Amino acid sequence: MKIFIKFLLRNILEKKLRTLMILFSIVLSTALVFSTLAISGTVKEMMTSQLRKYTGSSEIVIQKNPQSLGSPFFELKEINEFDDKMDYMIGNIQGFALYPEDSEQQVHLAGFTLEDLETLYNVSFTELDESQTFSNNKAIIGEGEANKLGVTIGDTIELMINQQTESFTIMGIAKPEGIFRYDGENLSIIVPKDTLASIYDASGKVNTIYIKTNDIEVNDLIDLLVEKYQDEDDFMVRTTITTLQIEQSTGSLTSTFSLMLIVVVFISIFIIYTAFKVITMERLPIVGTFRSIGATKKMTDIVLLGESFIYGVIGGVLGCLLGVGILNIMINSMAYNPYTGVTSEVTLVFGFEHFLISFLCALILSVFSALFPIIKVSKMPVRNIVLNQIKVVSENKKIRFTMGLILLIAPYLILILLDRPSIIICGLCIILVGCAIVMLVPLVTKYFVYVFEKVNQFIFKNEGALAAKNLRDNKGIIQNITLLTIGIASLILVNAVTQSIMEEVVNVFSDAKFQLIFQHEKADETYENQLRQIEGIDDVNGNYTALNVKVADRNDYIGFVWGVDAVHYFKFWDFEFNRHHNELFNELSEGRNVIISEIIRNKLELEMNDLLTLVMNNQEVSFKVIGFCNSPLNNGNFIFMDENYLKQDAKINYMTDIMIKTNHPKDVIERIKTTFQGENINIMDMDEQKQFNIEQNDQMFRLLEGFSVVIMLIGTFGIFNNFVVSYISRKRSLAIYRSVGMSKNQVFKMLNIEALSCGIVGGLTGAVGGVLFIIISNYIMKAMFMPVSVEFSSSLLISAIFMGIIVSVLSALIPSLRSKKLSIIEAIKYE
Amino acid sequence: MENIIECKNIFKSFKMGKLEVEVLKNITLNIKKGEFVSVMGPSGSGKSTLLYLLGGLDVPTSGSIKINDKELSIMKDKEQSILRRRDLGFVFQFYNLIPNLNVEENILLPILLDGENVKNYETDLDEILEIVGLKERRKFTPKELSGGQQQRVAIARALINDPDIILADEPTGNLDSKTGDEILELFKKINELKNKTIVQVTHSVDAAQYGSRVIHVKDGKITES
Repeated sequence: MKIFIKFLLRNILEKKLRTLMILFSIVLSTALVFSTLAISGTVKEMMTSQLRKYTGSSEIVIQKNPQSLGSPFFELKEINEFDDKMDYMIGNIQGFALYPEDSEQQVHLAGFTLEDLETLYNVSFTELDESQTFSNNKAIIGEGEANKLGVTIGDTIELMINQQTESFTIMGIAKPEGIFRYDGENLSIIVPKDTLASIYDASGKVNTIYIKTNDIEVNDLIDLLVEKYQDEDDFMVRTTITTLQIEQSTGSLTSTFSLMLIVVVFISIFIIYTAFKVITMERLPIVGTFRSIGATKKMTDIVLLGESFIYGVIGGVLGCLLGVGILNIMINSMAYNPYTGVTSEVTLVFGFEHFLISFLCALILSVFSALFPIIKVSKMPVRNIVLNQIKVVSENKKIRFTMGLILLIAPYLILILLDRPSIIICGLCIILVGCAIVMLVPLVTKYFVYVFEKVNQFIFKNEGALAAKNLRDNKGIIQNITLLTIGIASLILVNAVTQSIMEEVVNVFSDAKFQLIFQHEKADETYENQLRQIEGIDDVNGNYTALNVKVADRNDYIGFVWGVDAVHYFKFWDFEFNRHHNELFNELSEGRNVIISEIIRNKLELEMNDLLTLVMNNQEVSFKVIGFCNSPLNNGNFIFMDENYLKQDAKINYMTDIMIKTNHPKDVIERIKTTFQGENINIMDMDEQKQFNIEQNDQMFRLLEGFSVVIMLIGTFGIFNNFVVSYISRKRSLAIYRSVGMSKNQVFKMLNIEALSCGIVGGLTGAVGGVLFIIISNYIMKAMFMPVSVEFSSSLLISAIFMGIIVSVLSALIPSLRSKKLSIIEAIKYE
Repeated sequence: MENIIECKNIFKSFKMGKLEVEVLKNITLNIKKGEFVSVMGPSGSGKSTLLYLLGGLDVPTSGSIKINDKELSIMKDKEQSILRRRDLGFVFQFYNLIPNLNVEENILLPILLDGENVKNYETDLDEILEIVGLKERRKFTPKELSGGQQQRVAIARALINDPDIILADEPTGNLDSKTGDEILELFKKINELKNKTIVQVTHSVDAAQYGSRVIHVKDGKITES
């Protein structure tokens, strides 16, 4: 056995370039598997830590319902009976201030005791004046805030709270973690709880309680607390972060990556499989020698499998390491906010299981890819191997064609028949179509050869015709074309999906017929009227919203339930409806009726006149579906009902936002600021909002584009690898050409024409494959309930075809240059 | 009769690892037009190397080789390639056909490489296919042919451009004796009918007898000619 291991290691070290190429394919695939697996966890962690910015380590938050009409302050009840169930319970005051030196700058103000602050956020200080106590007019700010304001310990800052100026002395500067993680926009300043309470005229009271559980499930404690507080009107007890919130932030991203993972693994299997096929054939004489001197089939199989196993192990380990690097780059590109120029601190979340799965994936990928050629060799009689009499069993082309055609058509029939297939079925369909492409490409190539023989003859003379003939039945070249096809098709798919999502995001506000959005936590009709009075404002409309409303008897939530005055509201939005507008809008106000988005319609399988029962204010209320609306707004996760019913059923008193129509948005913004000076208002310009939206999503798109570049890199590398491998296996053919009078330049020319033809076929079939994939991707979007229609542009297809040609020609450059140094005798005599 | 091949003081050495092995030592040899020469010698004697040097597939370490009075060593790659496709025809032990080209295309390869229109060679092709007895299999690919048939294709390819010289490296080495005899008869026929100069390398005494002259090579030297 020792001799086998020695042989095995020598094999690996002998052909360094080949070893490097196989390893690179495995390493890249493993790295992508790893980063795709881990990105979900890391993004979740990133989102969670962003969502936890204000709530720290707490799990439950108790506040007055923001929609309640009374004061948000309340006395901190002693909940002694739950002491053993709580790690801590921190009452505090959440407030708002303006920084007078910069009237635009809003400040999130929070009132805590120093102990509570440390408990909740695990704060560590860069500087802290320990000689002082945290009381009266002391303040603590983060490093980022201190830099922004240009202040340090002992400095005084003035804040405008409740239209009064208050001065605070900085007592501590905290490291940028938790609440002190400066995002470039919102400043956070912590002041003593009692001080803030007295400013708000709420001494001894709080407006928020944070709780961390101990030895009890969060939901169980929530139930107990709800029971405790149920007598108290309008209290809200909820988890600080809901899984729904996190899923909403990460869901589509991880699904998109999973889709790409399928493509990556598919390409990798193909690359590694073809590489091993050649290796196995090359090892054949040695296998024959081993077998002839008494080695069993098992022994020689182990030698061959051992080689792939070693590649798998090395590739797996290196791939995991590279994966950490890729993950880091991906996440950092996401954490960077181009709008503020601030990069949030990100913790990479990956565990042993991610390493293990990726490593096993590398092993399985390489061993599995090597298995088929090895089984093939194993079945050959020793005599044939020794004499190198390898009979190539010619495949039945008719069967191949029929199988290919079935695999091509069946997925689309399944998709059409199922109408709304699951993501898994869609993924399987992509794999089936990929297999169909692999089966059909050789046959399609055959027809291209007929065309090329004529065209190449005309353009490139006889070398061109020979190059075309070489495409025929040449496994290496056909594999290149297949790989190119899959690579180009995947690239088209990824690009089309990215572009389509990007367009939807950009166009999300294209239906808006207003220019500004005004927000205030207590906005009501008084505010509406005040706004209407402002010079330059043509019209205003306030809407009420209930978020994440549960659908009765289902585990589904409706993200946005908008309560509107339909006739007026739809003057501000140009949505598409399935019915005549006026009739529909009038009917909406006539009772408990709803207009639902197409996405909700599909998700909840609702049709006209069906009843949709929602859980609002702990009660089930049924609404009749009277129409459908098509808009990508909020990912299509919305419904409309009459504002009066929403206010009544969901106990909502305040408007979420007020839309403003104006021809002079910039002037109007200034006037609104003057009118509502000192109040916690937020005004958004729709043009700015569009830009902000693009910039916010830009990170995700850059990430997706980066991923597609990596896919192309793997594909290019595979093609390059294949060109080199096919060059090695064609050395003899090329030497024959040379022996019968082909000059070095003619060989170079022929190889390049081959590559060009290969690129044209691969590019064209890849474009067709891309379109086929795009059709399936639309079903995936449907399955993910994303209101995105994936479309392709002719420019995308044309650039993909050109890319195929460039990749193919560039990959062939090194082999064709090497052909100039080919030793005819060595190549011909080698048997 | 004029010399069609002239070799003078040929030396050829190869590097094998750190050792330099001298394969051919001071070979001087002339072959006249229309001769059928068999180069005989045991394995490793340098006979195949000599043949490859004559065909310009390799270069001698020193010495001069002239084909049709043209010095090979001063020719550029393009000139040597033209010489190989117009004046020389190669036949190898393992046939060396292009696997993805059919019989016709393999035979017409030198014509294609010469930039000629293959349509002008249809009559020649038919005649050569008749000679080698493969008229019925002109559309077959090499893998669909027996060893003997593949060697016939190789011979046909060597003849298509009507070269003056045919160089054959162990042309029967991979064939059974009956097929081998048929191939050698074919060579003899070509030599006599078309007055082609044939140089074959062999280690078989029987095969060597088909030649009009036998040259013995041993340890890189001509021992008998």
